[in-house]
Amino acid sequence: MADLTLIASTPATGTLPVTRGTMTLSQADPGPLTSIAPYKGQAGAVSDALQAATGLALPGVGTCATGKGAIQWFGRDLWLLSDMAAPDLPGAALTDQTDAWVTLDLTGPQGAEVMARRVPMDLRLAAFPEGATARTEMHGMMVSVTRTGPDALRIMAFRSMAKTLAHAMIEAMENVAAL
Amino acid sequence: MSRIAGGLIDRTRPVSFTFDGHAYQGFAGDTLASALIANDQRTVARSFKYHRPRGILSAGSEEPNALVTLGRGTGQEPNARATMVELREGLAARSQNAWPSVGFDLMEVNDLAAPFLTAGFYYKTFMGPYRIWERLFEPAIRRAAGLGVLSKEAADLRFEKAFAFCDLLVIGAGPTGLMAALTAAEAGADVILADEDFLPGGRLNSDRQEVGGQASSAWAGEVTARLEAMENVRILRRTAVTGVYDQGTYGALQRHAPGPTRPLETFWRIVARHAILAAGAVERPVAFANNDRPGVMLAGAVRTYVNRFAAAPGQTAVVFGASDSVHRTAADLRRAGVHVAALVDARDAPCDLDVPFYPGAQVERVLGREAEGVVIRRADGTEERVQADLVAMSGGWNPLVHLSCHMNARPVWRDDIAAFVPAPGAVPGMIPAGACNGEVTTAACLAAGRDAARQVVSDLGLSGASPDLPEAEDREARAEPLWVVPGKGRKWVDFQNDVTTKDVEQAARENFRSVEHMKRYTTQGMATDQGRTGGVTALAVLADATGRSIPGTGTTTYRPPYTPVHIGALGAGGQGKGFAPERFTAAHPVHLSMTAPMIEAGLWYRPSFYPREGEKTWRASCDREALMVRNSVGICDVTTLGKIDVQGPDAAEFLDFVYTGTMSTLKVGRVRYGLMLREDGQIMDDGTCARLGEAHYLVTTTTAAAGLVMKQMEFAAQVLRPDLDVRLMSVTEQWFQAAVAGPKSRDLLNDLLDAPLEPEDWPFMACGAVSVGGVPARLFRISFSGEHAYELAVPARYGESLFRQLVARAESMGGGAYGMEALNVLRIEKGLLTHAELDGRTTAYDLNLKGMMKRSKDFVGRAAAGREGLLDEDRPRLVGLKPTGAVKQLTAGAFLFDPEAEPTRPNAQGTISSVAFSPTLGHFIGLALLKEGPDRHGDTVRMVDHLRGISTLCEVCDPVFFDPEGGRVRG
Repeated sequence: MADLTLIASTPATGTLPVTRGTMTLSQADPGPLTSIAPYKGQAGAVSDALQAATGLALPGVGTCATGKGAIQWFGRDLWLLSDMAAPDLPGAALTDQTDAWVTLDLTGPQGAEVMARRVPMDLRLAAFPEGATARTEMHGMMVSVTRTGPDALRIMAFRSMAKTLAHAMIEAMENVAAL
Repeated sequence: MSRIAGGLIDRTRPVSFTFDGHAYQGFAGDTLASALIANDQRTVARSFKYHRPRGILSAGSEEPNALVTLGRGTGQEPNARATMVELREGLAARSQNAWPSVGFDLMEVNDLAAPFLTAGFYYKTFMGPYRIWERLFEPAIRRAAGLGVLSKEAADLRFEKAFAFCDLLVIGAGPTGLMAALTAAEAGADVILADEDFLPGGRLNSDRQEVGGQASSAWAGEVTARLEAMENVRILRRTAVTGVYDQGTYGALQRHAPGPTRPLETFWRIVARHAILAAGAVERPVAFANNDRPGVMLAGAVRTYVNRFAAAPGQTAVVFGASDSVHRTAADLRRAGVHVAALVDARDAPCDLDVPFYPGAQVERVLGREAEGVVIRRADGTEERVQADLVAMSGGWNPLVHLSCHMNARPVWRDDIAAFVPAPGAVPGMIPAGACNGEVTTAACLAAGRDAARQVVSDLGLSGASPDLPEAEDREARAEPLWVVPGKGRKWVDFQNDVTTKDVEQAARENFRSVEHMKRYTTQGMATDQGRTGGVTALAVLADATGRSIPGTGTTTYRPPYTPVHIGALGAGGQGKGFAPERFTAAHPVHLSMTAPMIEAGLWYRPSFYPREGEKTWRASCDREALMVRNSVGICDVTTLGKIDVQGPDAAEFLDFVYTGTMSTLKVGRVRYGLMLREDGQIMDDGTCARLGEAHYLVTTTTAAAGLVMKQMEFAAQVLRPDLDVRLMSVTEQWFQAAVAGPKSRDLLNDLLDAPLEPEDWPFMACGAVSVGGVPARLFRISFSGEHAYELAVPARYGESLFRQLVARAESMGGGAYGMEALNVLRIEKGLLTHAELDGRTTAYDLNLKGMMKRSKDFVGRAAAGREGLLDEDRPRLVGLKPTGAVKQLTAGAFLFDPEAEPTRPNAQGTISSVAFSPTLGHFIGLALLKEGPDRHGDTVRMVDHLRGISTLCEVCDPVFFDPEGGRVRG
């Protein structure tokens, strides 16, 4: 047994932050991520238990809730808790996802225009207001998109695809900036 | 220069460009076509088949003649329509389909052979064996006939794609579209207005008329500015809607304004709750002899060039048609200072212009290679020659019904305007309005646009006052259809594909009477312009030749795209690295720093070997790495294998259902090898299943099948066994995982982990939690090499650091990192399987794993796997092979034969799936699927690799070559 320190590294996105035109893309740290998948008939109880422990209830389809941490709808019978350690939730399958995702923040007034070049969804503020979240597709990648502010969108993709995600986003930002 | 006063060009911004190497100047606001006209360039192209000189016919996207090539090399863009190319500084355009030049083209000799090159010529002439057609005729014809050519270099043209959503898509920004967009926008609808032109307005910019008390172009500019200022309106200029698809989805192609950092085009997918088709109409040419000569132009286009672009297409004009609009053309020309030598109206109509007027007359023929004059046939039958370098013609207008037909509707004929209009309800949610719906005056178009938008506004549940209709011209433009002028000579109907009235008549004579047959026999309408200008004229000729009415003849099918779309635009984002996502493990930087060549495994990149100094071939590195694992310890990045977290009260029962084997009997802290079948009974994947807790398993898959397995398990959970309470979550990305393999693996781990491994706690196929550098990790004692081995998993963020330290420690112990090549050698030595064997056509029985299909329970694929044919003894089954002949090499993919048999397909006994040179055994080894294989150990077979020309004798043996007792893996 020897002295050993493991050094943490971030997903390899290339050089971030990057600014193109009015838009900036940066790597975010959403803290610990835990997927919460309530078992059959347990969603209500899990939501109550979660709320009791964290103040956050399980939000409806396509939405998220924030408090001390944040919880977002993440798919069929699935939620993702971020920015806080998961409490004990006996009625649900919990899985650590902290290292499974790369999280990028796209900030600036043309977020919807940039995303329109990548994602087949209407992400304009009126259709996708603060608190909205979606699982969708970008360039062959499964992604999660969440509106975190009027001029801020958060995009998550598999960690291994970080470079492709950043490349696809920057290219779209460049094309919007060039218009 | 034929630049005249006025127009909508910006004379303060001159633009230099070249055409066929000659330098010219135009202005911002010009198209390439208008700038060429202003520079007196009459012949700009050669025709497809006869290589006849051609000029500019139209002023829009319907242009059949003026195709040019832009740029060179990797930026080359053939078949650009000069009428749609926005002039930009430094633009370099070239004529195409001509040699040596567009003015003097040797291939014009084809025109002399025209009597022979009529419809069906190829079908009749080039009969004979298919090979002669393929090798001789077709290449020769292709050289002679054609459009632009590709550079044959990888294009570096950039394209983009985009998605948009709206309440209302307005297609076309002429009077109808502008009025519709304004009405809907002011009521609060979310509007997209798409128009092909870079300047919205359509014919409002082309014709001299007043709208709302001002010049129509000024009104168009004002409305455009109002729309642009509204938050709920997006104006897509330079954007052609190319296709209509289900549920309100529209394809649209946007060319971008010239600019070095912009993509060339963006392909939009627009989802609209409603659409208003305001596509306008396109003018028809008249079929008279030599109507394709440079200088012959559509009358509406002449007005566009004169009024909008301030470019006079000639000095002396003959204007010909059968409508009031040709009188307007003559008036505009005169106003622009062009001498009108004759106004020829096929009707017996009055004329209030002071020009030579020929009522009831027709232009019979054009004289000169470039138009020099015309022959006019007067009403009384006499003939007169008139000199002119411009012939403006109008055969009437065709409403642009195309988009209304993309969902299989056929347009309906209206006798009163002699034109097809969209069928009612042709596309759900789309309202045709204005000229494309048969309206003929500006006032009617404005009203139609407003009315259509009001309908949409009400359907959307919105309200609000509609804008007032501006005053506009409402004089009924009387017109009579004018199709073909009698007389001798060739009269073009399809300018781009060189189809004349004679070809259509001949098709009818030879009984290609159906419009679809005529089209294919003559190629009418099959060029890149899809016969936009001449299509209905061809129908009229066919109708006449077959004694039917035009509606009785019918139209051909209108299909997307409405306008040519670069394949690059459809595949935008897919060039180069955009083709598919690239997946890198956390240790990727370490692999690169060790100069490992990376190979693709699905979307992943994996190191194939780690070359060391002095190693000249991959084999040298691979042999060293394999021996290193056998003799000391090797480290391999195995992150890419799929990992699926399975949790829930019924997790055990669920896994019993998806695996052929039993996982419910697995003890916590233990791992079992498992096999999954597809529902058809063939093997889908193999892997390990670890029980982390009573109701918590971790399934591993191969790299290639991770997605497939996840999909099948989800399907099983949601559809096949919804009664089971189980939750699945991919954790492939969460964990970095490395194999530590070899006799010194435990020593290495004991030096690395925070607590040493107690041998009695860690037998073969054990698993559990460990800690490394204070980081919670998972350890699995599993082996894909046949050695005493482990796989260590840490959260991905620590992967790079862990891999570095593992490799450093292994190297200090005489080992090191090993890549895919060595991994493959090690597993073949042990007869372990990959997707070379699990190739989607093999069963558990084929791979000697029949015993893994538990008969005591149900599992996915069980019923199908039990079918007779899948348990046939004659099926090729897994064996090992060793070369025994003179040639000692085995090759993967080679076929196996009995030694005495002819090496032909009927005699094939099987194939080799995997081969490797085993440095441990000192010779090649292979895995193969051989008929009755397990019963033939010790037999000799012949391997023949027909592709590589290698043949050798082999001995059939057990597929486990090394340590068959498995002592090392358990040690």
